[in-house]
Amino acid sequence: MAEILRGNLAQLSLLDILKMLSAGNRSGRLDIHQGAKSGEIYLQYGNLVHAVSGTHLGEQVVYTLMGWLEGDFSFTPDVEAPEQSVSVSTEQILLEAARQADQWGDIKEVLSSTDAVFNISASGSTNTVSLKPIEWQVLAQINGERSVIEIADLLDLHEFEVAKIVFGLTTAGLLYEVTDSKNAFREIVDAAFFEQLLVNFTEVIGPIGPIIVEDEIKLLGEDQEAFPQSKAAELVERVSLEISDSVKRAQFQKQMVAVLRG
Amino acid sequence: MKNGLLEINQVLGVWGSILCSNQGALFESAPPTGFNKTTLEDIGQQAVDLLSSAEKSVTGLTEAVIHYSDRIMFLVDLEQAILIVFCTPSVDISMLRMTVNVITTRWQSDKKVQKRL
Repeated sequence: MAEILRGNLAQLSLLDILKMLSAGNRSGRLDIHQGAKSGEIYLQYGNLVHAVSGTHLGEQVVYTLMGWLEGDFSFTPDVEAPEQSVSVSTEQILLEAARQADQWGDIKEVLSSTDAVFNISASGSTNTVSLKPIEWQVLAQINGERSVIEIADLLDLHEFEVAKIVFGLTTAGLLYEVTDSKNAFREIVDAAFFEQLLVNFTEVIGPIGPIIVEDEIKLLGEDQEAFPQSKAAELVERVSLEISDSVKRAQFQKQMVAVLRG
Repeated sequence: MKNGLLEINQVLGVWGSILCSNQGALFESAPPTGFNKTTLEDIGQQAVDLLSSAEKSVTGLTEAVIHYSDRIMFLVDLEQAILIVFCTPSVDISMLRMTVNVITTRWQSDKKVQKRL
């Protein structure tokens, strides 16, 4: 079954995608991938009927996936849901998702991303602070090294829930974002990498090579000028899939693996 | 074949690799330290079972990435054999997948390797 919609959440938010599919009375499966994590949302005649991510099911999964600011998505039409885990109406989900998206807007004023790392402020709050048990659990995991997303995984909570708590604790003066953490700076690939990529790829696929590379960079939600080293191999792999001859593809990959290894 | 496995082991985050038959018997190995033949064949057998049961649900499945709490196992169905790569979570899966593809494509045109498989 062919995918009819494919892209990156950096370009089109999940809320917009779901609104579009729902308005078009679409049936099928929406797959979302972010690194090692993934989620699936099933629609039937425009209604959200099932959502799953790891061991989580139902509408909460949709809200969690809404919090992913990056990640690849693809929609495959006419795939039936294996079960029905969504118990509320699609309208309600989209309304709640829109409300959470607004809250994400506020949260993002404080949290640069869910990869952000926080530490406990030595000065603390000037006021008396009372914490709910769940807030205490999150606070206990803050150590200047763990990211928001890692804490969510560790406590088996949704990213949005943890981000909201971290936002609250930060605005209360209990936490601060660690700006020089391992996640704050990302290594950028040098111009020589792109030169090699374009030369090798154009040689095997022809003059359309640079256009494909540019498209894949966009689909990864990145910019050539500041392309992260951590996604360089993924970019090479993605463009190599455009080479239909398996021997030529392996040859191109061999050249590029050597470049990536420096 | 051993050289191919050793090349795979050079990918950052790879801990070791083995090649098993479709029945789980060990063809060749460059495994992580501390694994004996029985353990490796046990892992091979489980990988065969896992891939064959997954193939019943997903047509055309040729690889699987299994995430454990502190390890990743990358399985590739080579039709005549199964390649198992043990990794740490830091492994770059794209880099690993391309390296594996380069080596397995080379194996496909290597008569010596084909004879052994």
